[in-house]
Amino acid sequence: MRTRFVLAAPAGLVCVAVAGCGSEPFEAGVVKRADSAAVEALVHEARGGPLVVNVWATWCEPCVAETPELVAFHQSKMRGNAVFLSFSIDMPEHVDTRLPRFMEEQGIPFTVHALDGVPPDELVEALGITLEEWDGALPATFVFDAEGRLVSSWYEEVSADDLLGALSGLV
Amino acid sequence: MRLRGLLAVDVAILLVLGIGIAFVFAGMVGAEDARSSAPELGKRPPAFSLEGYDGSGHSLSALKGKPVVLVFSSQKCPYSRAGDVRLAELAPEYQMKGVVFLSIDSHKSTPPGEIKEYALGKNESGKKLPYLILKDEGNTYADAMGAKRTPEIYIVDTEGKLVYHGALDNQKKPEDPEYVNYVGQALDEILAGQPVSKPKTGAYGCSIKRAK
Repeated sequence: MRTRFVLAAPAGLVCVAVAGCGSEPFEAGVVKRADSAAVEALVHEARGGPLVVNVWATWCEPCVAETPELVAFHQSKMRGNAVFLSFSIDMPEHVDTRLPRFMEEQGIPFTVHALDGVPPDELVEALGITLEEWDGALPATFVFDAEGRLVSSWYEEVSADDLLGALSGLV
Repeated sequence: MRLRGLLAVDVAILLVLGIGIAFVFAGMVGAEDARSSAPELGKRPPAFSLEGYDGSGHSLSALKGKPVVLVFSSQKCPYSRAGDVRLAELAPEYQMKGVVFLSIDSHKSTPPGEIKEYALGKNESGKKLPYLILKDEGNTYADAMGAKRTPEIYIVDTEGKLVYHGALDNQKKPEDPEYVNYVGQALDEILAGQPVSKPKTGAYGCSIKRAK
């Protein structure tokens, strides 16, 4: 099941104009529900290149605060071929309402995968990390190298510069 | 002879110095362990003495012999508030079997007055929560337990040992055939005298905002 909506005009125009943002032209602003199998498939598909994963929710204040930074990161040309996966753990009743509304307000241009019954145990397993490395506190952002090794992680607000800096070390 | 005597004195001095240095290093390692230690499963968790929103005092030692569910929570965290609704539905069944549920608020900017209002009905269930919320001033107990987020649940068995750490459930919908309530499952096993089959799980939640 998916929820589509039209991006707020200014953000959408910026997104179209900025190279790198257009890498997912038909997925921009989409919420997709993702069960454990879907999460595993997404991570598997992203392997072979750098991968940035952000886990967040609209009810999480620091997650909301870092959103413009993640949008800036996603739009940056310096992101190169790094795949960005956004996993939301918004409550099921908010996935079709509050979450798309928030994305529209913030001009989020990327696909947000709303986790559907995926506990942290299964998410960390799909990411190839352990509960000792991350046990569920939000926000959480991870950078993996092409071999799937965790190279950087943040359990507080992250900036576009933090992420680009981590990726630059992988080149 | 004189040379051998001097050597013996040197060796003795080195031995004394060496033992002294070893003691100093041992002390440093011990101190570091004490700062960073979170309770291990199967071991006794740190003791606490905390006050409830009703002014009552509570300690882990006073609950000896009873299974105890400790829930780090925060009314500032929507995820924790949602967890309270589900926990409030679960608790009465197990309280009747002698299980003690205690919620612990370690959030730096939630005063006991606000906790009381929340617990008495200003919450998503609209009812008084069926368990007490204790105030952990200065997040001292959260530090001792290594608790990082809300909600984060610990269960202590009848022998006073930590037997579960993690989430309330596996975050699937209760009507889902794969739904597992980890806390209910652990309590059933404890009450049946069996080991807890899934003693550690991950849990989504808000970071505990610490005073220091």
